[in-house]
Amino acid sequence: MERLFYDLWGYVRVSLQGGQTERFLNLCKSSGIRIRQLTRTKEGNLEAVFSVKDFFKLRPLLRKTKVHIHILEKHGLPFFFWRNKKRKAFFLGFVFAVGVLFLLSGRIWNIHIEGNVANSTPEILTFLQEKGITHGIAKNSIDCSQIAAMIRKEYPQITWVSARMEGTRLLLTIQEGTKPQELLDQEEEPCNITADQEGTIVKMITRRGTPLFKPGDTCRKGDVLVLGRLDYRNDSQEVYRYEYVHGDADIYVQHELSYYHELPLTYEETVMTGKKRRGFFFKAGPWYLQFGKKQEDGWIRLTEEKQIYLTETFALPFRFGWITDQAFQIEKKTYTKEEARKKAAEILYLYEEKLIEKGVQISENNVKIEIDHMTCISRGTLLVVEKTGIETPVQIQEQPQADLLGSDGQ
Amino acid sequence: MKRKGNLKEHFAGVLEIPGDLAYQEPIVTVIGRDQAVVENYRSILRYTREEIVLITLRGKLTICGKCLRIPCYTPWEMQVKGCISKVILH
Repeated sequence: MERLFYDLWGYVRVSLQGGQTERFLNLCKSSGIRIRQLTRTKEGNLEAVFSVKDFFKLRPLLRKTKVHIHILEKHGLPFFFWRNKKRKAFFLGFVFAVGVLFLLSGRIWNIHIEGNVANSTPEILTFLQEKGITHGIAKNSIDCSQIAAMIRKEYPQITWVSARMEGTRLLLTIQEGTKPQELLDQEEEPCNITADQEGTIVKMITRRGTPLFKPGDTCRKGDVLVLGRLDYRNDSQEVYRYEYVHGDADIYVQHELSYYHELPLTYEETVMTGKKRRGFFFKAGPWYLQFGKKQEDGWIRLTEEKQIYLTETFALPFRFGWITDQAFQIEKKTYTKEEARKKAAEILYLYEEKLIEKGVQISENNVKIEIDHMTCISRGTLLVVEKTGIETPVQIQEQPQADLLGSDGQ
Repeated sequence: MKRKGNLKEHFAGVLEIPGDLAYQEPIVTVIGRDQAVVENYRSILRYTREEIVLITLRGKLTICGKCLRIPCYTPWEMQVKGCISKVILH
């Protein structure tokens, strides 16, 4: 840091001669003058580095101690400018660069968004662009509170937005709520839980609503499993009031899932020959420049593309990338019986894995693998247990005529 | 005068003030064989390529060695570089 300061304001390397050089150094110390790179030469002289500002304070000290000073070298920006004073174009360029820096520093070059999970950064950036908040916009035309209000209005699930400027950055800090109020309101609307598939109910946990089925019952697609209505009965077991609720239950049904898969014994396999060739390309807007061969048959092309960003989110319309072409051949092969059986089992296993990922439990596997001279066929059924129930609107009925006390009470 | 000095020493001892703060005692930090930093010195008495003699409030401090140079010389501290062989407090 000190070195940068010296370079910026200029410094001189001097030679000091005389009998009282130590006294001169002590006077420098008491005057608050900093000395750097102080060395005693073989000839007995002192060499030291002074900043330009301190150098002009030395005259009375030199007179007092009768030390002779001789400038050996001059360094730093002031001397550089003095040496190049005749180079007008250089100074023009320097002034121009300072001017451009001044102009550019009055604009926003980076829009940084943090705290967003549900709403992606490109989505918010596109919205801001539609509203005229783009990279390169003048800082004085930005109203941070207005931006925050616009974002809150557009994205109801965003509960809090802070917009502020730091240098040439526009920082948007966002906090998202779990669910927007509208969705929460929707959830509270009365509804039934209806079966979306046929099967035997194995487990049923009702949290809200009236269950119409019980474990062991068989339901069909479209049956109302949990009614989104609560019937209030009086002492005479007459319904005196209906209350409609948002049905909520976990219902698991067991049903058979048929499985069929045909695997031909002869197949084509892509085999890489090992030949590779590389290329490079550059895109500037609609212009495309490629260094390398064109794509041909028998070659697979892998392209890796990168966009050039000036700042974190400010993308320039320039892209570049690498092309890798790999030569391949298609070979016809035939599975042996063991290979075909193994492959069919693998495919079935992957299918089961997908079902498990969806939350389906597999109780029984009744799939058989058969091989004839052309194909390997896997067929059978899987006995699965899975969650069922979709929300359907509840039919609102008129409130019953009976009252709380019932006919016996009257 | 002596009594005043004793009183100062007594207070510094009671308050556990370090010597370099209480009496401006010199601090010499030697880093390896080729670097030393001296703080709380008063003035330079002699500076040659083989010897630097400094005056401190508690006496003289001599740094001996070869090709001694002072990369940084400020009112607060002095940095000495070169092949340092001895640091003597008189």
